[in-house]
Amino acid sequence: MKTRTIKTKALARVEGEGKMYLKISGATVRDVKLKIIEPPRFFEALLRGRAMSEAPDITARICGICPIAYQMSAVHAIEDACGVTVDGQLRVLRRLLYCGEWIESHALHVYLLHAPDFLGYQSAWQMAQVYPDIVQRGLRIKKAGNAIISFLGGRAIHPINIRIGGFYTVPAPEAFDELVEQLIAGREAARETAHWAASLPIPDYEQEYEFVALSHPDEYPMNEGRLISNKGLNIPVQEYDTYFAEEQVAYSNALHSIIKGRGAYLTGPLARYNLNFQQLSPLAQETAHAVGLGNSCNNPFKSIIIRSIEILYAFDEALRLIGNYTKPETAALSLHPRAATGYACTEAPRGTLYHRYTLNNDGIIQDAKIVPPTSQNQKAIEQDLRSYVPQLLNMSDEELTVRCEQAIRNYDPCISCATHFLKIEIESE
Amino acid sequence: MMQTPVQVIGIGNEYRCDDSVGLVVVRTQEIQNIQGIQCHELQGDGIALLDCWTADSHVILIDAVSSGSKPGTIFRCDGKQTVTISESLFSSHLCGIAEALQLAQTLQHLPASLSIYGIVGENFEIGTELSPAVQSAVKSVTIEILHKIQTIRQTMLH
Repeated sequence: MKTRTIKTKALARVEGEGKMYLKISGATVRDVKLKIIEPPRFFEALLRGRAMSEAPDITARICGICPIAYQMSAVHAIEDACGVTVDGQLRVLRRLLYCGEWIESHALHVYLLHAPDFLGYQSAWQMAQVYPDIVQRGLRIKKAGNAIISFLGGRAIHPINIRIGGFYTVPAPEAFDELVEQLIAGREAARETAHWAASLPIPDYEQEYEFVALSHPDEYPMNEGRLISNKGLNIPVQEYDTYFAEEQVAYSNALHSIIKGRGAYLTGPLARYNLNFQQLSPLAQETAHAVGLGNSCNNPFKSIIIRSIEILYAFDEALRLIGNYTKPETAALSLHPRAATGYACTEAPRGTLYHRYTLNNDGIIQDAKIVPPTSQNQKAIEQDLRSYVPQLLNMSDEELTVRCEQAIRNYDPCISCATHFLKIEIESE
Repeated sequence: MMQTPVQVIGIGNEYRCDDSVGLVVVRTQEIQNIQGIQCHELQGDGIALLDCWTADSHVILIDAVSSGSKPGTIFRCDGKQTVTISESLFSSHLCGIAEALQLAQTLQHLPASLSIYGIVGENFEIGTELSPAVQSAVKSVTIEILHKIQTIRQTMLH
């Protein structure tokens, strides 16, 4: 039987350090391992003994791309423990902040990390030499997302204005005027992005997944909702640990998440879209249909189009939220700590982010659990490669490697969150 | 009269000891007291650099360097000279300065001038203290930057 051994250098355009190992025997993929080699970061242990008020700022440091997601899951979980619901205009501002993070994170991935795969370039700057206007558009969109975060959060990376109960300061409605102009232009650029992304050469590949995402009766999910799936899951986030488990695998420093009794599942833009299409704004729905997407999608390579639709939605939603905004009477609600456990899931750009905190009566964190989206998607990534690679066996080792990297980047993996670079090692026999 | 747009940009992680030296320089009273300049603090996202300047900006950028040279050594370079990078370096969400400059060059978005000061660090562990040699370099590089800004303004007047 023919034996092929392929080892590649570091995989570019992912966040974090890891390796992918493939063992191919004839026409069969014998083994796939996503090996996260980044050392564990021990954030959960670091949080023990800290005041509950510190959780948003500590967990924001887990990721420079999606700090809002960490801050939002942290504040919601601690508020759940304290029995407080932050509603009204403070909730509006939190959702607006999340729109900013979706825009900047998705724009970065769509334009600078993933698009080069589809156009045959090794990097965004190589692509920029041929498509400068397109890359400029991506940078403008990213800048608009950062502008929302800077405006509400105080700075674009690791914002400093978020606290348990709300914010340290809140803006007056008229302060949004300049931002609104930028967002209107951004929304048009996002619509163009969706059409451009749909014109990219998308591999013909579909897979059956269990999609998992938040679902909310009134809105496309960001900050809250029930956890649902296309295979019958429908639970409050407080029951997450009953239905989901994390497993250690010998070859990786990141835990693998499974749905108990069923195994791998997929979280992220593809899952949100499939489970919540009807909650997208009319403009986002119309654009999705105009670029050839249906109400559901099982091709992970089309995630680049779906991210573009989510960028469009986030601009549309941000403008809607700002249009209805009135300044809240208080910037933050008061919270009184109690001995309790609080739970929250929010939708980070890459998928559902679960936080759980146990507090004592003084509000000191006794225990913390954080499950980031990339941890949850590791098994789905491995399964994709297992079923996708057999279609590619007539390719050279080099081509095969490039296509595998592209498939991995469908998930926009953030390995730093999950435990940084990914090396692919393919062994064929 | 319009002031020449001068941007002083410090890059670093303030919780990684000597990595924060760029931020420390930007925060010095000497720099903060200069009228008509814009100061920026970045935490390492190279792409954010492109948002800091326009085509007529004169940019002074300060960052920590890990090179094996003697701690506190100051490297100076013209950022508009061609920056050569390895493809594999464009490897994370937070692209580095070299990659960002390459992208800016490709997109014809480099500023009018770009002076880079790199200060060799000694200790990049968790903490907020600068090493003595790096602390000394802060004084030297701040004086150099003051002179640089003066030179930029005088040149623009003529």
